[in-house]
Amino acid sequence: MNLAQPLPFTFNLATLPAETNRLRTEVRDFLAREIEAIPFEKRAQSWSGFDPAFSRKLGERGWLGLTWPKQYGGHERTALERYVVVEELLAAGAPVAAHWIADRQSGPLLLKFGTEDQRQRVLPGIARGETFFAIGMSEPDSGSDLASVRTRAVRTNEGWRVTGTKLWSSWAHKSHYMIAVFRTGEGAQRQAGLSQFLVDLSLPGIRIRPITDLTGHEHFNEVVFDDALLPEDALIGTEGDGWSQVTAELAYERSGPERFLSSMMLVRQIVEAAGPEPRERTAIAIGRMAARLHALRNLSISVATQLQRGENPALEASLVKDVGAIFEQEIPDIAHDLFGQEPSAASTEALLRVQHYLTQTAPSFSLRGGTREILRGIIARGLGLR
Amino acid sequence: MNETALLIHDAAHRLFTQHVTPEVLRRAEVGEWCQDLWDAIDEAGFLDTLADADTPPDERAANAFVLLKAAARHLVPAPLGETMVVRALLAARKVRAPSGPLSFAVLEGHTHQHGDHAHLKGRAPRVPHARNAQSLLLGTPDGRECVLIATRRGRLSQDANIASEPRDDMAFADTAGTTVPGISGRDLKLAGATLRAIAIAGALERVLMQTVDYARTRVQFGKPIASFQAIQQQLAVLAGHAAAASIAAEAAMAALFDPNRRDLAVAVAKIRAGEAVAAGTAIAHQVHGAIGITREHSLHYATRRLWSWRAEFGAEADWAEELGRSMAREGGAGFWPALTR
Repeated sequence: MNLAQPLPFTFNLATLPAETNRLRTEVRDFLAREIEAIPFEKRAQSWSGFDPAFSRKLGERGWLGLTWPKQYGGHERTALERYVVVEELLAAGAPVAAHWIADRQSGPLLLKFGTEDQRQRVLPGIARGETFFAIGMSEPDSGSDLASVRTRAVRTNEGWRVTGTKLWSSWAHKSHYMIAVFRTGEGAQRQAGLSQFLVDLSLPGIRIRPITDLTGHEHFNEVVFDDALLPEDALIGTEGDGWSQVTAELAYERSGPERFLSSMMLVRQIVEAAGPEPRERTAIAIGRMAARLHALRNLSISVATQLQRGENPALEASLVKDVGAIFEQEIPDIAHDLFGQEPSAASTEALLRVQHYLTQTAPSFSLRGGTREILRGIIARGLGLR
Repeated sequence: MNETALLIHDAAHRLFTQHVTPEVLRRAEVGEWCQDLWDAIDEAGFLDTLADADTPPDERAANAFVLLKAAARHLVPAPLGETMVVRALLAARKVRAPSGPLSFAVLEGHTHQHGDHAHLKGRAPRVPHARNAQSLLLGTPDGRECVLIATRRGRLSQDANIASEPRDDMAFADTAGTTVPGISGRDLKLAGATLRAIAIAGALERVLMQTVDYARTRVQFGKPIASFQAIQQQLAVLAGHAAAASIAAEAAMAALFDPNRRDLAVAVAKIRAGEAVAAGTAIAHQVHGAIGITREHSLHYATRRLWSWRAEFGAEADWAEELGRSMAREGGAGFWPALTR
């Protein structure tokens, strides 16, 4: 064992630049005005809370497409400034779902692989908070095994003919576009022959059926392509390069603070319910939550700093998401353990309404964006175990 | 890592690789003092890493973190961190540091000024390496001064932690020492907790490396056990704990001398590192199987230290209660601003 050897992952302590402090204050002031009236159980939805009017307001403030070039409606600010805006929105429980996927991954993907025409067409709308995106990765028979997707796009004289089904596409029923990965060919390996497409969801032959989740909300969808015709220029990047492009897209999807802040509204209610003089057991539980959250945030800022430097912290992002999901998933159990009350949607106590919602959504935290098992497989590969 | 920290990293690993041999660890286990190792550390100039006034404070902290984590990866069986902290505290108050190993502890008792000298009365339980230290820096939790005292002036009863590291009880009956103003026992506890958090982070990295190595070479059912998903998934969990412990410890070191930030950062580090010990050591031993619970295998040099260090200078529950109370006073709406301050 060579103890001088570095680990395969790097997390150096990084400090957010002092100039982000003003931005943070601006965001907090804005949120104090805009969302204080929203009930806590709605704020608990966070990046599952869909509110187009709120997204437009963020666009007006210049807080969407923050890092993108100005020619596409962006604001040419740093990844760390974006980090500050995003974590403040999440910590406050702002309803950010409408623009979330577009701003987080669809826009950056188009900037990287899209044609000039695709960028001109959709990026300014995303930055204004008016154009919304869904993800088209999973299928009925392709969950964690993304390379097994079967929805097929066939090149014809008129464009691409698409047949198949995408599943778990959050907000597809309220979005304008989807970035989807389809099979366009066969290769020696399953990962070959995949391509990404910019899909206008209003086209004929596309049927979107919402699926109700445990809480009774409709956010994810089944999207059926029945010989739908996409224009020739719907292809994103290079035909057959879908796998490496989708891997790059997943790096954006996995690296952010939304991977450990999903239960923040409940953390807040636990602290509120504990009161200023909590009993010992409650104080210890709050201290432990604070410690884990603080450490996770430093890990996440370290990843953001690596992204800012143009590095590719895919392994680090998987690690933060795995550790983060454990944390945010445990919060409903901590609330149950400390207070032991029956969660209720109709309760007069915000704690119990928030607990009612998050108890039922927490199982999704280690499924969405890559399951716990897939992430740990990526980490194990990084460690040299496979 | 800044350039100096990189140089320190490489120099430290070279020195420790050469001097902290399995034989040195075996001898430390039976109470033998590692004078050759200590002389090498001293000659390398490492002891003043935190004290060096020519280096900006944030760089000093960064350098100390790199050095102490390297020391912990090699399980240096000497009070390197304790000596660095005492020398830094003394240098900041223009008190000349005695040569040789030093240590510190929180005093249960009281100090009072008597002429030019401070007098100590009471006991200091479980002082790290007291028997090997020339002098000790001691202070009461709420006092406004500490006392530097030659170890031989107190009564020493030998004791040790789970890993057989010296943790000696000291008793003082109105014993005279040198006053060091402006430091309290609280400062010492925060410094000690930071040292242990860094040590846990370094030792956990060692345990991760050692367990990965073992899994890749140990063959069962005709293949290395690393190829089993059950093993892979567990090691991924261990990696997550090592990463979280390390960044929390780094943040504590960076904040240790900043009165506005240190209480939060140190509490976070000792809690998070302590939690990582339970999960990390359990996984390492599970993957190693029976050979890992033998004295002849070297895994225990790290795991037994980890079990000791999580309890030293405040266990997770102590720090969590303190941190939790301070967060509760902020209220629900104040929690996030307090955490990001």
